[in-house]
Formats: sequence, structure tokens, C-alpha cells
Amino acid sequence: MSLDGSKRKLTCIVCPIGCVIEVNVSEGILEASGYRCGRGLDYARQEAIDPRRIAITVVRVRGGDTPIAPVKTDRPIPKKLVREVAKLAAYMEFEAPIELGQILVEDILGTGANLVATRPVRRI
Amino acid sequence: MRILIVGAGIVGASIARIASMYRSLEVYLLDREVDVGWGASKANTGILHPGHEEDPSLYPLRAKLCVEGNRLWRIWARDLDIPVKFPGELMLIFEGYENEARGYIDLARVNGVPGVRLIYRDEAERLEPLISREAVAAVWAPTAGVISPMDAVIALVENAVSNGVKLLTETEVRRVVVSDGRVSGVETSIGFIEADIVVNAAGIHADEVARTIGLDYRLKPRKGEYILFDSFADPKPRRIIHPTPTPISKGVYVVETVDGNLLIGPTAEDLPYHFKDDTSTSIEGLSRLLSEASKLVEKLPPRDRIVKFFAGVRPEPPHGDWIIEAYTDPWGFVDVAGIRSPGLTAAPAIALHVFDLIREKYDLKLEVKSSWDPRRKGIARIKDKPPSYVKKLIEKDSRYGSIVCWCNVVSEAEILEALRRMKSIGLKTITLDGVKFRSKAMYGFCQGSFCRAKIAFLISKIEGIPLWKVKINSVETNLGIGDVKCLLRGEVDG
Amino acid sequence: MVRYDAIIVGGGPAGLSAALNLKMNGFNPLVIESGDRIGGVPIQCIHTGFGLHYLGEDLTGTEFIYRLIERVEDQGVEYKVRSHVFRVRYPRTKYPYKIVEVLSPEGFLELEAPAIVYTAGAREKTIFEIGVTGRRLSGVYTAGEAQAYMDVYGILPGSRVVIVGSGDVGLIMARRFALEGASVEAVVEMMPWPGGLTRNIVQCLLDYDIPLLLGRMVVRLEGKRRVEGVITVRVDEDMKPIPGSEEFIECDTVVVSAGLTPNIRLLEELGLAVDPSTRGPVVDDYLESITHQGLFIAGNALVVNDLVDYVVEQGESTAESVSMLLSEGVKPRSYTRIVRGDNVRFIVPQYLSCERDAVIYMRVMKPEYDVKLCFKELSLEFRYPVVRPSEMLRLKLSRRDLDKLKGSGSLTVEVKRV
Repeated sequence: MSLDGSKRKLTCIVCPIGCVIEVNVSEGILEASGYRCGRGLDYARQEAIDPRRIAITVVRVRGGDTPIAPVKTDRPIPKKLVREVAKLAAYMEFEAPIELGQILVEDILGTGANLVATRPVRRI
Repeated sequence: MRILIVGAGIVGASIARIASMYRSLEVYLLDREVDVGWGASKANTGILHPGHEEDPSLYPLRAKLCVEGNRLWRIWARDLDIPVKFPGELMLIFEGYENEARGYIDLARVNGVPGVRLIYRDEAERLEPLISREAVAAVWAPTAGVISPMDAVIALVENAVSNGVKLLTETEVRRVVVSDGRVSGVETSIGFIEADIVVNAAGIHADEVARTIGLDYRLKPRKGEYILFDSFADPKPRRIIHPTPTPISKGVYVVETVDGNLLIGPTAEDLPYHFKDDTSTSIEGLSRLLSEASKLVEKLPPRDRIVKFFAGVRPEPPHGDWIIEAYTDPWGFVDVAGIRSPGLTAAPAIALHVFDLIREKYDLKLEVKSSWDPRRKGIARIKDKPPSYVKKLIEKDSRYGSIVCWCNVVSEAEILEALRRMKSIGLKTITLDGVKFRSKAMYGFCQGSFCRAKIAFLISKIEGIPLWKVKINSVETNLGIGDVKCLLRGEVDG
Repeated sequence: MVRYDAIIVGGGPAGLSAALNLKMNGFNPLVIESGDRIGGVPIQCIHTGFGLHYLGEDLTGTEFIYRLIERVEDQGVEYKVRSHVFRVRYPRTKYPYKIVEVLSPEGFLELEAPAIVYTAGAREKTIFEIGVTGRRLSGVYTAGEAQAYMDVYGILPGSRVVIVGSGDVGLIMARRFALEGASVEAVVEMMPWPGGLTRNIVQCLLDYDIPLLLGRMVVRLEGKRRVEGVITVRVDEDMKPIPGSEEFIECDTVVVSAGLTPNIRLLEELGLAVDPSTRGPVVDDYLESITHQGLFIAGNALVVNDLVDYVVEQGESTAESVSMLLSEGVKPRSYTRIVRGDNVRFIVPQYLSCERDAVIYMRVMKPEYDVKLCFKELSLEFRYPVVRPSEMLRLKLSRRDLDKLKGSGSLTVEVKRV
């Protein structure tokens, strides 16, 4: 998915209509067609130039009432780094107890986003 | 003297129970599967036939042992605490088949089956309002019963083991070893096991075992598919309903099981010999079942009340009658093969008959142990029990009040008891299916989607194994492949 | 016999919301939960999309439900876990009290209350309900079950996955498997359109290059002990398999996401009226059963919802209805019956008293563009640029709008082209 000179179709998810927006980035300028509103254009722009997602996965926990804790990045990170986060999380292990919202990893992969726990784990 | 029984299905387990009575016998019961009864016994209609459908001039053993077995089950079920009911059965007669009906009345008389009568539509309808309006008459056989074959096999094996039988699961017999004209033992997947008498009750594989000592016959694999409806499905017949039998099969039954589910089946499809392990269901089989069943009853429950469908393969003997023989050449080989319907019904009688043959052919004096206990108690269950009974159980063990399977109201205590019993009979591998058959958890309309995880978790704690290694129905079928991150860490081949 | 103002069957988001609101209104509810903890299904939902409407935040299921759980603990709402309601009785001599029989480690309990709020959720359709034949093989899981294994128990069911059905739970699980390193071979959907939200099609399938096969049905499982593959066929407009279109997809895991159905066995045993189009109870705008006085239903036990926000709204609505019942007693009501017109798959509630504002939840049968949703006898129309079966529609009819009907006759709801 190169930034320049590539045409792409994407489905807008902002509202139930789901416009299919065609985007083309050439010489760093975005051309878009097929959207029906400004929110769609913003979405298309973001998706075409710098698609981001919240990364959601789990990490292993020692000594807790469950063997894993679900985690998420506290803000969207570049889409292409989501798999990296999941892979990194595969080698992590934390000690219980874990609080909901606890920051487990700061500034993961240099994205500026923290990896936070989304479910508490009690110590047993 | 050591007696070794190949196959822990309904026939092998019944023989094991009788064998366990005798003082001088050391009894081994073998099965290739991880648990007992997982051959044809697992997929069986569960009917205790009265015996009026067996022609003694064609199949003398079937006729005699079926009537005796029907009678014996009343005692065995009581002693072994196996749920059973005797609602009676209606063989529906449609226009043009009235003469056939009279034939069954004659057979009933010849075989000594009590109470069989030809009744006309109005009386049949009073007995069972659901019968098809096309039926003009029925052969009413009041001694017909319903039992769960898995409940029966499990009870028989528990009783046999408590009376000294040694159960060896995951033990496949490769060949029977003969030396100097006598049976000396069996070669198995775990090595050679000595035995003086080998009883071949290996179900669909019995001909393979027999072939190893030179007996050359083929058992035809016959597949039967079934549909099981929810216990809440409506309407359900009170009586067992079925059509007039054909030479191939007794036809499709519409019956309410002991657990209260509506069961329809079986079909009868001959499989190519090498497909004998094919227990797959098919769209054609299922549609055939629904269409056959629709001919028998006025109304079937809606299709969204179907809980599951399944199939089993039964062994059809080459000439229709059972192969039950005690050989003196080689000495000690007892063949009990091709036990097709009414095998389940006759099982207790087959077991007694086999021992008559053993006593006669091998000139053995068999004394009953004074310690032999015919009784066995089933797992205490809370479902459908009165509040006073339930209260007492929970007071004794609070885990009876912790319900794990909501669909069938099965408590944690019952699951733990099922596990205890699996270990006490000597199963080498604990499986979720084994727990299912004993506790009735995962048996209801959700088929485990609510409770299987919880039950697997209990097993993993008790067995001290990781959750993903809990077995589903065999040594190779794990619940998972590792912890949730194992692929990302490269620990398992993706 | 211990008495409560209301007994709430099921401690998930619907039940907890109902309990919280009842408590805030000064009543004494009891929540009875069969599982080991309160929270229900959202405890295992680690993905976002929860609370967008209700809280204005995009939370994970876990974060959302813990907000409710915290309020439940703070407010001192009474609840029992590991306790299973296995029967409800309506003894005539005790009117208006109903008896709830509970199995719990404490013993066999009999509790009574004038109101029961049934919020026991939905169950997943099994592989048998969708008619897939073959052997009984291991490696087959329902989507919710697979989610519990991965995101509560921390184990991976398998490595090569086929997902049967493109409902939201299946799409979410497709992404989970893909992200944890498994290969998701395909999502197979028998309808010509996807069953889940567009947002999930994009973020679960397109993001991960997972093929979505529309108009195809899984008909058979292959394998000896564990599943080794599935056979799919193309289907025609009548959902009949097209012979000769069989295709084999190799896999070791089958995840069944064929839909949910309200978990109302207990209520069926009572003889409750059930709507075949929702497979849930028939209720009025108070969310009270049309046949059983004092029995209120909310959440997925009432109708399978897309959003937890609606589930919570329904829970709160039953709390209001119960509060009214407890303060003002039983009042006679007359009803306008809702009739489903063109392209309306279901509507809840099925009956309107027309005495108050009514929130309507409905789904269409097939996607349509540029339509108006017409409430014929009210001469009311609502325009939609698109309506899809996967997106539940929720609208409010005001008391003023409904006054015209006076709680009689019928109200036809239909989808029409603009």
C-alpha cells in the first residue's frame, strides 16, 4: 500500500451508509471521490495517508485469578504496527494484581501510546 | 484361569459382569478406545425389543435371547441403577400390510412374548394419539422398553470393575495368539497379554479379530443415522412407534428417550467394507429420517428443536443370525460376533448363554464368589428431583448447588463424581466426552457452548494438566494447541 | 420465604442496569447469576465498540462492564453468584408474588417477588442447527466459546480457522485469531450480504486480508478425529445448495458464528408467548410479557441486540416499569398490535399501550437504499439512506404520536422505497 500513485477503494465506517470512497494519492496530494459528507472525507484522508488503529490483544499474567489480561493501546497507533504489538505482547508477562487502566508498557514501539490493561486481575 | 474380553461395548461389558461373578476367573476387559461403549453401543436407538419380530426358524439365537434379555433387563437395570422405562411399542400397520401383522402375532406366541396383540386404529390412537392417521392398525407389544445404551455400558463396567475385572482402555488387539492348539493370549498395541480364554466381542471389528485365528467371515458395516430433538420439543410420543420391519432393518423409530428427548432413527445404509469407521452424518440420511418419521406420526416438532444428529455403524453378520460359539480348536476362543439388533436387548442373555457355552465346552466348574455384589449405584443427580432430596445433597456437598451445565441442570459435584468414576474404573485418559456421557453435561440444547470451557477447566485442575491439553474424545484431540500466544512465539507450527 | 421487590435473573449488562436503577429508585432487587462472577458476556469482550451511545465513549466490553460492576458494588446492589434459577412459579394463592427456585451452594432457595426481570441473555446456535453434517470431530467451537478460551482462559483453540457465518461475533473472532498468529482461511456466509456491522467487515476482515465468501454455505466437515477441512457449496436465492459447486477449504478449526437466540427455556416452561420472528418473548412497551403479569424481559433474552447500549437501555426501561408496578400496582391496559409489513423482519415490542413514549427496536430482512420507514396508521415516516439486516434500528415514538391509536387496533410498520 504505497503512499504515492496508488488508487484504492475503501469503505467508510463513520455511518451506516458505508460509502465506497475511491482514493488516490499522487505527489503527496489526496484525491477522493464517492463520499457523501465531510466526515467521510476526513475518514478517507486518514485511512489513505496514515491509517491508525487501537491495538487490542492480551498479555500473560502470573499469580492472578486469570492467566491473561486483555490490553489495548490508549490511543490509535499506525495500523502496520498493530501486529508488532501483538507479537511483542507474546513475550510479556506481568505479576498480579493488575488494575483496570494500569499502564503496563509506556510509549510502546515509540508510538507515544501506552499499553493499558482493560480488565482487572486479582491476586490469588 | 484368565479370561480376556475384547471389546467393552454392551455385549463385552455384559459378559464381563457375568465373568466377574466367578471365583476362579481373572477377568480382563479390553477396548481400543479411550472409554467404554464407543463403538456401535454409542449410537443405538436404545430399544428393549419384546422379541416378536424375531423368527426362530431363521434366527433362533436372536429370538430366544431377545425375549430372555428383555426380561433380564428389568432386574439388571434395577440392580445397576440404570434408568429404564417400559412404555410399550406400536408397530404401525398401513393399508395392505394386515397379513404381515398377523405374522408377528404368531411369532409372539411362538417366542413366548407376553401381551402382544393386533389392535385397530381407535385403540392404537388411545394408546398413542400421535400416530399417523394413515395407520389402520397396530401390533401392540407392551413389554417394549427404552434404555440409554451408554448409561448401561457404563453401569455394567463399573459393576464389573468393582467385582474385580481389570479394564484396559486404549488397548487394541492385533491378533489372538494360539500355541499347541490352545489360546495363549493376545498381541495388543501395548504388548502381549496372556489369557486362557479370549472372548471376541469386538463389534464391527470382530471379524478382523476372528480372522487372526483363521476364521473367515465378513461383517457388513451398516450405518444408522439419528436425529435427536430437545426434551422440550413438542409433540413427543409416549409409546415407541415404528413401522413393520424389513429384512434389512427394523425401520425408523420415533421414541422418547429415558432422558426425555425425542429420538428418530436409525437409517440403514450398507457401507463398503473399508468404510466401517465412517460415522459421518449426511443430508440425505437426515432428510430420509424426517420423511420416514413423518409417515409414522401426525406431527414432528419444528426443525429448530433439533439438538443434534449422529450416526453409528453396526455389524451385520453374513447370514443374519448371531455368531456365538466357543471353540475347542483352538481351545479357548469364544466368538460373539455380528450382534446386530436386538443385540442391546439380548445382551444380558447373551452373556449368560456365553457362560453356558464356556462351562459346557471347556468343562469348567465355576463357583460364584461370595463377595460378588450385583449392585451398583449411579451418580446422584439433582435434575428433576424433589426439593427435599436436593437440599440434602447440597448440605452434604455444597458443590451440588453449583450448577455448571445450565441446559441439563448438572452440578459441579456431579462432574467431579463423573471424573472420579472414570478414574476408578481405570481409564488412562480423561476426555470431555467421557464426562458428558456420565454427567449429562454438554448434552443439552447448547451442546456445551456455555459449559464446556468450565468443565475443561475443572478437568485441567484435577488432572494437573494445562487447559489446552484437555482431551475432547481421544488421545490426539486436544482442546487447544497451546496458550493464546504460542503461535506468535513460534512454539507451534502454524 | 425471603422476599425481594424484584428478582433479576442474570447478572450481565441488562440485569445489572435494571438492578442499579431499581436500587436508585429506592427498591430492593436481587440479582441472581449462574456464573462465577457478575458481568455476563462483556467480561470476555476485549474489543471496543461498547458505550458509544450510552456513555459517549468507545470502550472495550471489559471496560464498559466494569463501570457497571463498580456502580453495583458502590450502591450495594445485592447479588448472588454461582446461583442458578431453574424454575419460576406463579402460584395463584400467592398473587401477585411469583416464586423463583434457585440452586446455589447455599442450598435450594425459594425466593418471592412481585416482579421478575429476566435478563439471561442469548445462547449461540450450534453446528447442528445450521445443518452441517459429517463426523463428530474435535476442533469445532462456537464463536463465544472460542472467545472465552482465548480472552478469559488464555488458550489458542487452533491454527487454521474457518469461520461459519459473518455475524459480528465471528468477525471479531476472525480478527482475534489472525492477530494471534493463526491463519483465518475464510469467513463463509450463506446470505448474499454480510451479517455483521460494516465497521467490523472493514476492521476485522479487510484489515487482515481475510476472505469473505458470500452466498456460500458450509455443508460438511471432513477429518478423522480432529477437523481437517470443510466442504462449502454455493447457494441460490432460496438458500438451496447448487450441485457441482462444492469446494474444500483445509483447516484445523471451525468457529461457528451462526447467530444467537434468546435463552428463554425457563420462560417457555412457564408457557410464555414467544414471537417466532425474534425467538424471544412477546412484550408490550413496558417490556412486560403479554401473557405473564410481572415478568419483564430485557437484553438479548428479549431480542438479539447489536449494541450493549441498547441492552442497557432495555434494562433501565424494565427498572422503570417495575418501579411503576411497585408504586402504583397492576393497572389494566389495552393494546395496539404491531403488524410487520414489507421488509420488516421483527419489531420489539410487539404491543403498544400508547400510554407513554415507546422505544422501538427492529431489523429489516434485506438491505435497501433510500427508504422510508412508515408507521402507517400514524402517518409517520422516517427516512434512511440505507437499512441493513446487520444494523438494528432504534427509534422513539412519543406519547403524542401514539395517542391517535388509543391502545387499540393495529399499527403496520413497513419499509418503502422513497
